[in-house]
Amino acid sequence: MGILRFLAAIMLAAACALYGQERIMVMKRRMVEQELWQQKLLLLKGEIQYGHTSLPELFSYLGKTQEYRVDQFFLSLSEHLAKEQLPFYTIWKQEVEELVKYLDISIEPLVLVGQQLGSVNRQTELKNLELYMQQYERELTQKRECFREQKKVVRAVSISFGLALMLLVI
Amino acid sequence: MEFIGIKSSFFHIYENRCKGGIVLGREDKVLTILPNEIRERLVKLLSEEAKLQEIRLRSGRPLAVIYDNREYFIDENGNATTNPRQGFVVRHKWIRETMEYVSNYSLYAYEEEMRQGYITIEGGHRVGLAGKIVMEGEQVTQMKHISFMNIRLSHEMIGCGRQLCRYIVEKQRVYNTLLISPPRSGKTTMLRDLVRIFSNGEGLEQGYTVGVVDERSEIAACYMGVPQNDVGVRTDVLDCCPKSQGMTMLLRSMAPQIIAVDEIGGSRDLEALKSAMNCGCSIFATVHGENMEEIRTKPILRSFVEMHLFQRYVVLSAGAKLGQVQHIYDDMGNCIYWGKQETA
Repeated sequence: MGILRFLAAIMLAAACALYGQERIMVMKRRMVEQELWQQKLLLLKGEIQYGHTSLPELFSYLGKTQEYRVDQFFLSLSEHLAKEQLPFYTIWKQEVEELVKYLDISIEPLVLVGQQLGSVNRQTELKNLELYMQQYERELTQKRECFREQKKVVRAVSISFGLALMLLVI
Repeated sequence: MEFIGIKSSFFHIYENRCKGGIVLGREDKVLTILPNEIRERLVKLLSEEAKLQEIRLRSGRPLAVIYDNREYFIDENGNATTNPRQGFVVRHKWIRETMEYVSNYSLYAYEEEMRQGYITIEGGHRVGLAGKIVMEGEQVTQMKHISFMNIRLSHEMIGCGRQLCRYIVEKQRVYNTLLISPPRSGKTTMLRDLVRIFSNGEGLEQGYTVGVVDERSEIAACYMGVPQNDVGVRTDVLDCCPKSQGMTMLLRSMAPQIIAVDEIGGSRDLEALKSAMNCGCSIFATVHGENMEEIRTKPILRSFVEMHLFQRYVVLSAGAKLGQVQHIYDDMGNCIYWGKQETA
């Protein structure tokens, strides 16, 4: 009986620790997506600066791996632009509203980017993107700090909770 | 109320003015670049796009079209009228939306074309643009605040050039031919069909390798490098290239038997033409003019005539019928064809 109780306590502690680890993995994946968003923007900027690729084609290329939510955002944009005849800003805003729910980034600067994306000359296009990327870099730095802190907290809480349950059971 | 009773004619199908020819159109591509509000009002006209030549969008002004060489305004219900006050007013946001569709949501990718003042879209239609120009020194660097658009519909008239073949080819020798006509009389259309006929060898002893210097993308109307018009199986196209440089490039690399250029007139054109002719190439070219007499009065063009550079001068008539040959002259100025009727 004592052994069973001991085993149960260990399993409870392990479960709590694993749950904490799972939450950390989710936060980490979100962090990866946010870093990926930055990389995709850099690619977008590079293609606009050096290539003559149209936006629908560019978005299709950026979303081709389809592994992350960010990829799906670009792919969905590309598909909507190809199929529907709507102003770019309308389609962009719809997709951005879905993206920010998952990615937890500021929506207003992104919406502002969409107001001019594809409808101004190259120089202005690049300046707009650069401005947004600078703003996003600041936001990302804060999020990295936040993630580091949250990781510690979640780990500590999950392990502590597990130990507390273990003690209760024993 | 002025209302022109051409509504009934919108639902008839018109054949090509040239005997035996077929008019082709690509109205579906034009539809895809127009916003809903404008498309709804033009759908009737676009179903009869054989005669529809231009669609004009002007911010804050009534929607206008050039149909069968006449200008009409389109009202709220999509009917044509000559009274501009009844016209459906185009809003600026629709012009902006049209620009998005024309540029495939990527205006930055069309900066070079916009400096020229137009963009060629799929289907070979040309969208002329006007707005605020930004200069750097004497160079146009960009165009902003686009508020005026002129969508020129591309029309092929397959077969309209057949009537000329007997006059411009003898056995296998192709004469240097100059097409003369006022604006909007079909000289580019005729040139395009001649290119197609000679490239395919239609009704001829053989097909010819044709090089086209398409400076304004009007002959082949290339979109992403692909000709949207039928210019024949043996035709190579240099798109958006200045004529003088283009002819030299074609001669060096593509070994054309015939070179086709549109709207010659400058001294550089003359030099390039002479060079091409010296290489044994035949030339098909067009020039603005009412008749031979006008050509003889213009300094550069007069020298073309005096040097007997061209063996055939084809004068097209101005008027409702596109591609109608009025006269054909030989290099000595003798009229070898005189008539207003099309020949078989």
